[in-house]
Amino acid sequence: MKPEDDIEQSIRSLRRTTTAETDERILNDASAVLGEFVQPVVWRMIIKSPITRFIAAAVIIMAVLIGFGIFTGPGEERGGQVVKQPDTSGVKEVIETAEKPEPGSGVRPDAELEQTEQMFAAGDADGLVSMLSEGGRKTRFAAAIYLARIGDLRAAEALEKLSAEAGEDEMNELFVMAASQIRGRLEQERRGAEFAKGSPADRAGAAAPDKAEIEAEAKQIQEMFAAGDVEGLIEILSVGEFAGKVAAAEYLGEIGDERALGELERLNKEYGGWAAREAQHDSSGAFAWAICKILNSGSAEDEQIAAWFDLLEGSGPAVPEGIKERAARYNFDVGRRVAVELDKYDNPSIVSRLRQTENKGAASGAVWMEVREMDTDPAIAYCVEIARTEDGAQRYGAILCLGRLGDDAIDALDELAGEGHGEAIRVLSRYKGNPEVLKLICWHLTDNKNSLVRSMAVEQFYDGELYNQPEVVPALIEAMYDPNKYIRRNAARALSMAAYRRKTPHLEELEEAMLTALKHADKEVREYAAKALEHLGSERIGDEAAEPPAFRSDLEEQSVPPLTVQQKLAAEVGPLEKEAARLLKMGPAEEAVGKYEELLELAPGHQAYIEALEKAQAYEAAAAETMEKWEPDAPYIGVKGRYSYLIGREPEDVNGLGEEFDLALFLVESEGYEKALKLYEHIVEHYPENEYKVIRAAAAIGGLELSLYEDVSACVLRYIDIFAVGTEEVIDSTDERRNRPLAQEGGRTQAQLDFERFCKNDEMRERTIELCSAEASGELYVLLDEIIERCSQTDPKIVGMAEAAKAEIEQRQETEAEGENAIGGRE
Amino acid sequence: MLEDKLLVLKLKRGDADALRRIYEKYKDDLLTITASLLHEAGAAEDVLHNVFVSFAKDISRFQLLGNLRSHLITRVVNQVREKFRRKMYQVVEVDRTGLSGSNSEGADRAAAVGEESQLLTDALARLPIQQREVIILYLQGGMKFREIANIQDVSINTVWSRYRYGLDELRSFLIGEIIE
Repeated sequence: MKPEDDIEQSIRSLRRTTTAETDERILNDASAVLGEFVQPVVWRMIIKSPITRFIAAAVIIMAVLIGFGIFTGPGEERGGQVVKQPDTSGVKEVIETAEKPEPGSGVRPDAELEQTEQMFAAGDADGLVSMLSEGGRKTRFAAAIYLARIGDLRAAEALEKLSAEAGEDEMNELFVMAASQIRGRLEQERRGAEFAKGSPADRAGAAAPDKAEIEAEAKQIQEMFAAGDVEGLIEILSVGEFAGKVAAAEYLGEIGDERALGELERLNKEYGGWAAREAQHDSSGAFAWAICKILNSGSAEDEQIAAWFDLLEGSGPAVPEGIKERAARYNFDVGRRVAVELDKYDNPSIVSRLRQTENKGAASGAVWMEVREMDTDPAIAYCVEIARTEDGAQRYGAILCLGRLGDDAIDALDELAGEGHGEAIRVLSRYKGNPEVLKLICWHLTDNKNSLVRSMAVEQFYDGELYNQPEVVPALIEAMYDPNKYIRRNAARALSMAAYRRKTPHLEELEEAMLTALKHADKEVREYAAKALEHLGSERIGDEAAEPPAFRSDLEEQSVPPLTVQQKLAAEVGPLEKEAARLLKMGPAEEAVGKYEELLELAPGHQAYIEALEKAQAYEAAAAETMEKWEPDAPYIGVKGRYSYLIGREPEDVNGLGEEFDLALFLVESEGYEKALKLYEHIVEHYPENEYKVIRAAAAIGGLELSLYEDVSACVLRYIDIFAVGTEEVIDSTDERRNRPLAQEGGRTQAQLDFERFCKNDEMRERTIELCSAEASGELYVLLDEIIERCSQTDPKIVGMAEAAKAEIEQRQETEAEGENAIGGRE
Repeated sequence: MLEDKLLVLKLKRGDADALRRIYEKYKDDLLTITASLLHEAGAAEDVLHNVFVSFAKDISRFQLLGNLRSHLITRVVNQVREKFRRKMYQVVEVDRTGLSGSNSEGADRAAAVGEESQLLTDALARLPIQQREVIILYLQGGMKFREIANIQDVSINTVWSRYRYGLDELRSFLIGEIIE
């Protein structure tokens, strides 16, 4: 290697690779322990029964599948509907890996499970529904997961019914999740189908009969209420459309007639919407609300308030048996209704209690109660502050509340979206008829760094009304190259709908983009592009198209929700606090002062920081006061201050060397070994290597490393460094007089004499050889070669000792080998 | 890094293929770093073995907060330190012929990594372990000085000094080799 070669580059390019045997050995051993340790400790502790383990595995895998968007995106075309290719991955794995239930637990043979799998593969939702009620537990579990993927409304209802019947059974949560998944998917399909229906007039026509029916029923219910016809309203609870059931429940709650309770409880179990945690077109909390209202109609005010808060906390008689408190606590519609109800009481504690809730529905009401009396600007500012400083439901509630403050809140919502609050886009979309707001949403779709915001933005374009707006199609085309697959696929999907509707002024641009997208790296986008070209009736399929651009690298692929001010502070403060504490302990004090000042800027008035700052300042002041007059009997603060000062020093000359050396010695004597080691290392790293004190420091480091860390090799290497220095090279930079040749000593200097007296002496030689030779395993004796090689010019005496020791060891090894051979021969 | 998150998730569910994928993805980087730290191929493979076995063992409690590669490198460093601490490993002598350990092993290694690389790895082995760690983690591990400072529990300035001094020493070792 030539000296001018780039060492850094050479080190970077050094490569090693394993052999196939090594790979096999490591993977086998690692896989073997994997099986033993794969289940989390907490899991093992909490989930004791085999059945519970089985169900919990199902719930977790369901959450994982949902989280990965397995249910979105196109698969194969069937009957005009886009459906997923049957894929049993994940489900099958969990079914197989989940512990088998105990005998007698009602589980059918594995053949039943296979049959379920075949039904899923064949898309037989009806068969799976029947398995839900007829199969064993394991089969029901599998059927629920499969139905979540392909089930229809009937399956969702069956799952919800089973969930209500399951009561405390662990399968309850699984059924709720599966039903919720189906309903979500159906809603998406419904929106998609609306796109495909054609003109708004067509859609209105298609929806007309249902709407008329519902309106007639609503009118009938109103009349019943006006006439006090409780029995009629109760009958509606049984036979009415869902909207009618809700309306009847609301009227019955107002009337407060206990005869309605039975039917309301049934509906509350079946349609309670207990899995809905966020705002949707959901009014299923009406039944729980009506029950609570009826049961408390004659109670005192404080009892009524307590009952509403109980419901909000997921307890009390209005929460059906079998619904877990946790699920109940997050029910959006219940929370919304409870907040409205509590708003009727003149009790100042209500708002503050609601402002603590984790229920998003109630939180938005709570924030509204706080701001509704304010002028618009301060109200907006207050909501923005909550969104930035608070977390979870309250943040969500504040953003929703901005939507109630009118057009004036648009800028604030835009700003919050810019900061990564996806919910702000959902609220902004209420104004998307406004071209300026539409432009903002398009901007967030293509340029917001946060993937959560962009994904919320792309969802706003499922509404076919917008495709004729000039900004929309170009933005969606750009979004097809988003780094996040959910966004690019949904953008492609929306474009395929736009192509179907032919409602864009950019048809040529769309056709061109879709031709290019046929070469897209994402298979699902390619499928949507093909569909779009088909919808456009394009005759250019097969034409040469431009190469698609690369995915955007300037946008985040997977973002997290923005941190609150407190979280940001914690993230910033954590490392800074650690560094400041380290500097306070190990110096330099002046840097510790700086760090604590920074911390106090972030957290003004923080008592612990103030105290630490005062301590660091005291060290710094003590360091200044004791400058040039440090003495071993100085008060501790002076020693510490001086230490801090010296350790932080970047020496330009050797002026500080003597003091550093003396202080290190003092620290050793005071048993401050770690600080002494640090100071000695500072000396060795910063001063000339032939300097007498540096050599002494190296010897001290060796001794400290041996005693503190039992690091024999490090110690010996330090000692070898000393013997590798020629006596004639040694100088004392701190005292020129010690470098003058002494006639009576043959021209040697005092520094050189001291070096031989205190460092390169027989005791040190023997100690070094002893350390090399006496290692129990004999492994360190190779350091004898290091001595022989490095010290041949500077210390022939130790070289001779090393050679003798080496010869002795080799002789011993030979003798031992011969002995073993002799034993082997006899055997 | 999403792929790593998915792999870890699968691994937590006991997926041996995920383990294989993680191993295939990082084994060469980790082996290179380990071999440079230890300067001995057999011991480096032992460390690699221990790292993956302990990683698989701890997987149920493991949370991927940052970068999987850095996490595995940190495990390597800890294992290497443990080896030194327990004196299971010797500081291997580097002789001027460029070979170390047994003749056959040295010859094999020289043939495998080439003469220039051999000189460089030998020179690296002569550095104090702390300097060696900094240089290897920075250049081969691709870690930032701040990350290395956290691993070594020293300030970033110290890491930088170790890096600079280490390179200077390497340079002088290599020049020495060439002159001879």
